[in-house]
Amino acid sequence: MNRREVIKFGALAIALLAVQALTLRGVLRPVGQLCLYLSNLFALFMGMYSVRPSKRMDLNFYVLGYLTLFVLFFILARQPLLLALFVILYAALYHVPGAIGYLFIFAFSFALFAPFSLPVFALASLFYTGIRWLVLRRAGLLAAICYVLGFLLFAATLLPMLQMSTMTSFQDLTKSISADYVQDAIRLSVVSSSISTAVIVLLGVPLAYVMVRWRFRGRGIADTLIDIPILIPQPVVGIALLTMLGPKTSAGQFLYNYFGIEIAGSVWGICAAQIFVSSPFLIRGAMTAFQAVDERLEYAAQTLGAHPIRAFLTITLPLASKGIFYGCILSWARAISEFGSLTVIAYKPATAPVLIHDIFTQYGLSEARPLSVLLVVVCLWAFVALRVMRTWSPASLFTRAALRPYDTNPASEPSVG
Amino acid sequence: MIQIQHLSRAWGDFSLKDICLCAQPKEYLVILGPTGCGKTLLLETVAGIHRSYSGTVRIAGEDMATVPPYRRSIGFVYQKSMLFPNLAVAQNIEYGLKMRRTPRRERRARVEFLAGLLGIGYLLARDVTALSGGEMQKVALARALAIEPDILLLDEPLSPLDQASKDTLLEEIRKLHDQLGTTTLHVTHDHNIARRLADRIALLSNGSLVQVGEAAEVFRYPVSDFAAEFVRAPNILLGEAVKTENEVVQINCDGFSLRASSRLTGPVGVTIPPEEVRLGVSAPDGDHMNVLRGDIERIENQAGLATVTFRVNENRLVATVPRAEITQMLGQGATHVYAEFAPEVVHVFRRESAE
Repeated sequence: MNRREVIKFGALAIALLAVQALTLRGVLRPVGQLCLYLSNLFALFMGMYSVRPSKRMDLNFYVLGYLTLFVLFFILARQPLLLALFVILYAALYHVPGAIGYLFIFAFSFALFAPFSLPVFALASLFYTGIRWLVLRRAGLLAAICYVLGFLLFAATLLPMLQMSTMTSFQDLTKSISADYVQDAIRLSVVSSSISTAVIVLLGVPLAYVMVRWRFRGRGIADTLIDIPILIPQPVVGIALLTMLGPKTSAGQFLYNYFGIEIAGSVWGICAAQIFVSSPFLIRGAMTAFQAVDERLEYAAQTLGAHPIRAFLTITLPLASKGIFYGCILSWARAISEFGSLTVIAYKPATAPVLIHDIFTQYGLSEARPLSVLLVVVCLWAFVALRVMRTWSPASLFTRAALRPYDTNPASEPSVG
Repeated sequence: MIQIQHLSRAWGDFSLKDICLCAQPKEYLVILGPTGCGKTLLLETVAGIHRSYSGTVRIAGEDMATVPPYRRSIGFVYQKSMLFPNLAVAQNIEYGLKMRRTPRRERRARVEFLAGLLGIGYLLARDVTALSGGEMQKVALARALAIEPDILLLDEPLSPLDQASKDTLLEEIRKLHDQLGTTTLHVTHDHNIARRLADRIALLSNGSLVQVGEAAEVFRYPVSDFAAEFVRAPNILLGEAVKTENEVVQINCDGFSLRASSRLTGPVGVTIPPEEVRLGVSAPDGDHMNVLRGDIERIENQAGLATVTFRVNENRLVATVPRAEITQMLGQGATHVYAEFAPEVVHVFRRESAE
């Protein structure tokens, strides 16, 4: 900075002091006034020093951004001290690409969307990140339209979840989780859906394999039957199971007399209902996975001396394992969220969804919310597993383990001319 | 080694019809035929993957009707190599040995022996998905040979490759066969591959065998117009054969006729080996049975020899003559030639498409 600029800056600083002294009298306490003055002075300095005066447009934008913050915090939100904080951040971050966008999203969501500010900030930043990415890649109009429309749907599901989570305090959660009946319900949910998934894997994977590999009469009908559980309304599943295996039917009595198993109001009943409703997800997942494995790989294994069962276990199953695991997670998630049929078949002992409904009808929304958040947290591991799946697969693990004994000396590689 | 007798099998709209085929020990038998003629189906039936067929398949004298594929001693290489993507290269090669519970040390020795033979030692630790087409086929070949099979079945192993790797792998296969002497059934649609590898050739068309014989014989004496065209026999002419005296027939093509030693009459085709055709600028003196006048179209020079393409009416014929001879002819400013060949060199076959 040369001498002339220093004089110019000094003059503007004195002018700013005068304007503030006149307008802020009685609005702010002196300490607050000082804070605001210092932040404004910083913004002025940054405006003169780092925004090149030759770039007229750039300077205009800088001023516009300042005015926006001023309107948001000083006029709309009436928070002069927040204004001071944001002005400092603004002046400091003006030339950091991208950061300024997040700052304004933060400012807008806190000043204008008071009760929903956190979810709005989270979603808007996400949106902004995507748009920035699209613009930087010159992705074009079609991509932008698809992105915006897709994001709307995404927001519609994510916003309520975020809001529910932010509305629930940590104290609510700990209070909720310490209750015995809550712990029982969540344990019952996790255990029963895990048992159901295990049973489905044991029975569904062979079924999926047969459906994919063999062309038999009635295959089309079987293919439709697999999807039936998705189409049937949930309470109907409960009614059907009770009609078949209820305490007053002969099949139900047989189970009770010889195995001591009761369907109505027991874990067995819960598992039966969960198996019924969530089996299609695993079977479909496994079918897609098996379809992707070329049949001739099994033929090749057989000509090499592998019994068909061994060929299946050593080649087909490892290759399909990723898809099967994916199906497992979907199936597990579907089982743990089952509600409709369980209200019919086993209202007590209550699984977590049934308990949530029960508490909601008895005590209302605010009581049911912490338990809902807890259930979401429990289900999160499935979400994490789905994410991890994209990079990790059991098949790749096999290969890597197999590499070790044959690690060759790289020097032995022939040089390619 | 392999005896296939009266093998028939339906597969959807397609069927194999009454195939009888034998391969001797250490023989390299190429099954040649156009795409979709049932070659792969035939191989998979020999391998035992398709088990419902009529007729018998014998391997080493034993009827294979009740023997499942994993008890047959067979190496199979698919067109798309079909390596197991969940296993590394070395694990792929030793897979068959593992299934046979071969001790680890022997397995490893065999893998390294084959890798050395095929020059793929540097690949052993790699992921199979990271290989080039040629490397994949070599690994597939090593995997099939690891179990020391009685029979090697190759299903178009060269067709997905570019010309350079095709040539390399072809040489590798020939070398392997010389060293190991495994009886091989090689299926292909490429007559060049058949020409370079085969001891014997079986020509397959639309599910049935057209011709089986020594490689040279199939190329020199095709039995039908399909066979002649498929193996790219030179100088194919079509016409009607009429009987004359002394076991010589006169064949009338459109606009000219020629004579050949044969007993066939009716719609026939002929093929004339280019090296048996003699050329001259004027009609040859003396008594010749076959003299055709043609216009010179193209001359290609090879070492010492020239291939002359000339046109007789609508038919294009070629002759291979010493290069000096053709230089002399061209020196006289010739645009046409007289071609002369003996009736004995003309191979006559029946025209099936005319029936």
